[in-house]
Amino acid sequence: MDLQHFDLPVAVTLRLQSRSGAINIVAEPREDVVVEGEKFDATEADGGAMLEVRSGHGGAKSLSVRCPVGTDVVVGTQSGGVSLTGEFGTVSVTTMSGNIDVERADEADLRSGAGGVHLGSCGGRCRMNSMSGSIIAGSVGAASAGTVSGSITIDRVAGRLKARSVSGTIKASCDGEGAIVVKTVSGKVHLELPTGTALETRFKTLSGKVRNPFPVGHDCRLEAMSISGSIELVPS
Amino acid sequence: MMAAAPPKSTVVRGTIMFTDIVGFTEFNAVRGDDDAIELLALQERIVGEELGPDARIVKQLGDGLMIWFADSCAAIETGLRLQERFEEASWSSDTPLWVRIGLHSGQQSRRGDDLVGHDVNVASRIVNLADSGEVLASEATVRSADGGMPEVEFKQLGPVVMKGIPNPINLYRAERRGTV
Repeated sequence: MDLQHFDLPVAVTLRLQSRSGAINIVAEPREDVVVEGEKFDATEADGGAMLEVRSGHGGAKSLSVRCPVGTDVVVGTQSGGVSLTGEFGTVSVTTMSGNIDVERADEADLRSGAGGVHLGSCGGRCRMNSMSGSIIAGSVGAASAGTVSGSITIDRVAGRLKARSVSGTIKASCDGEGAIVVKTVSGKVHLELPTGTALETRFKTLSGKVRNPFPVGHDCRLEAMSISGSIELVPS
Repeated sequence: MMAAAPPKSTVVRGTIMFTDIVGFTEFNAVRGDDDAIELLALQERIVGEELGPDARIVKQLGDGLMIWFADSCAAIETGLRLQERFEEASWSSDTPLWVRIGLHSGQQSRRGDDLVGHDVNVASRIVNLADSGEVLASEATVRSADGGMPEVEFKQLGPVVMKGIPNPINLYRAERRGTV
């Protein structure tokens, strides 16, 4: 196993890639970056502000990285899973079929073709996408989430929410502080909003049922479109 | 008598766009063939209205289209415009035209009216990573645009290792500036 230390600026961006090898990154109180793996290739770019790492054996080997809190990370894999533990800055992870697990980020773009996406929390905007995997998020600032057959579950959205599924369930609790746009073909939609939120709604459904106990008003704009899936709004 | 050698392909350069209707199979199952055909016709009509003179639909692929553009800026602009039109159409009709779009620039080889080659394959992989409403573009397309689209922002998604493609492709999401 190879081990390399890099003394980089605190505002470093990590750019990592593998094929089937897993990528595990831990953000912790430290000022350097440590990369551990087998025959990986690491290159500093942009005057040391960026560290590019490719996993060994044509991307088949796993990578373990330790970096400062708040580091920006860009990761790409084919099937390798990606795990980010700790607090990160702007995170972008794209994988064809691996699972993605991010504990905390300031902003995030997480997309997997077939794997699941899990985001613990995100202070700002997050975009999550999976074709067949489930999308699960904790508390986020604003969210855009899309899946075909997987489900979408977001514990709390402080601002805007945009969610789309084909057959998967969409479930989210919103503060009602930003516009909500939800679309599904046959999935169920279950949205929680603060009791008494006055909604400016635009529903479009062909055969799905709509349940909306909220008063009409301008606290929050909500657009929901469904072909056959039900849309249920629930006071929280 | 020896068989004639196959004609050598003609190589062209340009940007390939793949479109794909998200949830088409489910929509077809729920709404039936007539509505599914209507959805495809709606996509084709809008695409036809938005394509410029230096672009052409190469072929239909089930619920998607493969389109060739001579100019990468035109491809990006058309992709964004198509998403705006698809969004409008989804609300104004009974058909959810939820489309994802992928772009990649390079060289393509003619095979009759078809275009084939590595760069076509890359474009077809890129669309699989897009969400509905999104336009994803490879670094080759963004570089080819060469700063000629100040009103468009390209957000880096990172190096993506795609099945069957030897080298990672740097992907970007194209958005009009000021939109979220």
